[in-house]
Amino acid sequence: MEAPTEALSPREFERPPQGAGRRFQPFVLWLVPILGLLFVFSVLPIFGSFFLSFFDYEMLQPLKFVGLGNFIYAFTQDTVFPKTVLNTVYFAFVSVPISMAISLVVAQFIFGRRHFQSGWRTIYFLPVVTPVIAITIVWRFILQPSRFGFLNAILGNFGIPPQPWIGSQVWVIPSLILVSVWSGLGYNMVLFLAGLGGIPYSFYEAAKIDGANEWNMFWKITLPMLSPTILFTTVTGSISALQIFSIPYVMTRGGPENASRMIVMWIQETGFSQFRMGYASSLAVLFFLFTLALTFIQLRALRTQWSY
Amino acid sequence: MRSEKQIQFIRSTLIVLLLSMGAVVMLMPFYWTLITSVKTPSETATFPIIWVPSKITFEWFVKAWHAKFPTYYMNSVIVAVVVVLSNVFSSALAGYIFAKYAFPGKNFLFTMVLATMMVPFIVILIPAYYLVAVWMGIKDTLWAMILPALISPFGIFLMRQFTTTIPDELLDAARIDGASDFRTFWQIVLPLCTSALSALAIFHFIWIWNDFLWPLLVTDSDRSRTLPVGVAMFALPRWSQTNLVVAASVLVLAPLVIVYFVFQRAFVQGIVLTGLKY
Repeated sequence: MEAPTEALSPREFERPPQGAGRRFQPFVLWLVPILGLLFVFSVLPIFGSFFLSFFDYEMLQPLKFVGLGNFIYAFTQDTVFPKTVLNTVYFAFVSVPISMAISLVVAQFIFGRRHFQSGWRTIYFLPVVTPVIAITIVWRFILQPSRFGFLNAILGNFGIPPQPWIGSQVWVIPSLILVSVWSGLGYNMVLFLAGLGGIPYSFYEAAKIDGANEWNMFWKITLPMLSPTILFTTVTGSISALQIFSIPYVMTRGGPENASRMIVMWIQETGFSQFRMGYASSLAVLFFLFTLALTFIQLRALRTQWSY
Repeated sequence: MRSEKQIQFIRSTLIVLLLSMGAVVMLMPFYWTLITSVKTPSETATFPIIWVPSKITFEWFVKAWHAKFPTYYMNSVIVAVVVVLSNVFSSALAGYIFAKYAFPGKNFLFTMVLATMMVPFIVILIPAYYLVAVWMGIKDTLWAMILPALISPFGIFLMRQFTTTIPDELLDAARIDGASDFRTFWQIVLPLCTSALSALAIFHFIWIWNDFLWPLLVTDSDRSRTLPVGVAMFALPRWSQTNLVVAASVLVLAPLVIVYFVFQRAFVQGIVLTGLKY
């Protein structure tokens, strides 16, 4: 009874995908080395991290099962880990919105220019392509706490006394935010420029006829139309901001007194300086769960905000 | 009352003024880098700032260059070239197979690719290190940086999206003319993907050239260090020698900045197309 109905189902009349006529195409075997490498270097290590997180493990020594001990230790006895979480969250949640706001304004300004548009774009995008390490080394000198530091010398021209920057516990994270906003805003700007180019000009014309001013048009047309881009840049920007490592590693090494130590730096240090690899794995697992949860919340919150 | 035209003029002047101020902030660190790398120490950390050095010296570049920089360059170039070529080829091939072939387990495998794309690198850091350093024993070689980066799940995803749009009729035509599967891929599919592939190549080049954390962990000596790790290791014990360290970072900055200004348009379009943070 069932066989004929299946044979007559509309699927049969659709164009089968290429090669579906034959049972198996040997060309597909190219995937074996490609996905094999991916499996070994990316998939296996994910399981490895979850596995190791339940063990005490020092390189080249036998594993010792500790159950949830590592996780409990992270929240109860490790005095540095909670501090690194706070630092990282502070850094990410301040730097991402600032970077988004500035790059949106810059993109809006550049988009309206008739002359030199690509010139402006080139300038603002330049830090994105320059090697992070080299530029961080440079910023370390610029932000030197003495009055001969470049930024302090500039401020001195305006009569502002020298600030401690990376030398003080209060100023160190704002300094990192400054560097990361400076180096990353061109990236968001370019995506916003592409987004702005995708908004039909007729929308603005219609709004103008209805008597809308520039300000109204920005809030009622530009921003909602850019919401997919904003969603994308917020999510990817937050994930990469939470993983910040190079800038504080070179600029502050976590100091002064852990004031700028970030989660990834702590994982690197527990794993590779203290050789507590099981513990470092459990911190990595916690970090993974945290980023997953955050991404989920952001997708939820930002998607419901604008439904056009 | 001012006319519409006057308001428009004031507005655009103001915007250009703001953009120029922003541009000064963006470019200032580069200018400082440039002048500091050729200044004499007595003119370096001064108040007020000496904007135009009275005497230019290249001794810092010479000194920095002799501190193993040719090796770092070689290592960076080898790693970047191998990784980018492998990424471009494997992403196009796997993406094409996922887009146009039917085989058992396809959805499962593609989901696996997507899942690896979502996992931050730090999550796999320790097992990956164990794999490379202990099981394979290739720590402190260029292989340690090349092997884990040969395949890019993001590249496979991007190329699958891109090759899906190639019409099946075109591929059928090639097949009817007697082209093998690989020849169809090489001569029909690849040429149609050049824009996506060049974007992917640029994206991966910037990423692998600037990668820091992984090379930092798997290299122990100058013989395998790439530029970012090399310059960091060079700078860390020498912070007091401002000019020397800044000249060393110019050696790292300069190639990318030059390449960027030459291929500026391709860079920006590559970012828009791939739309991924590195």
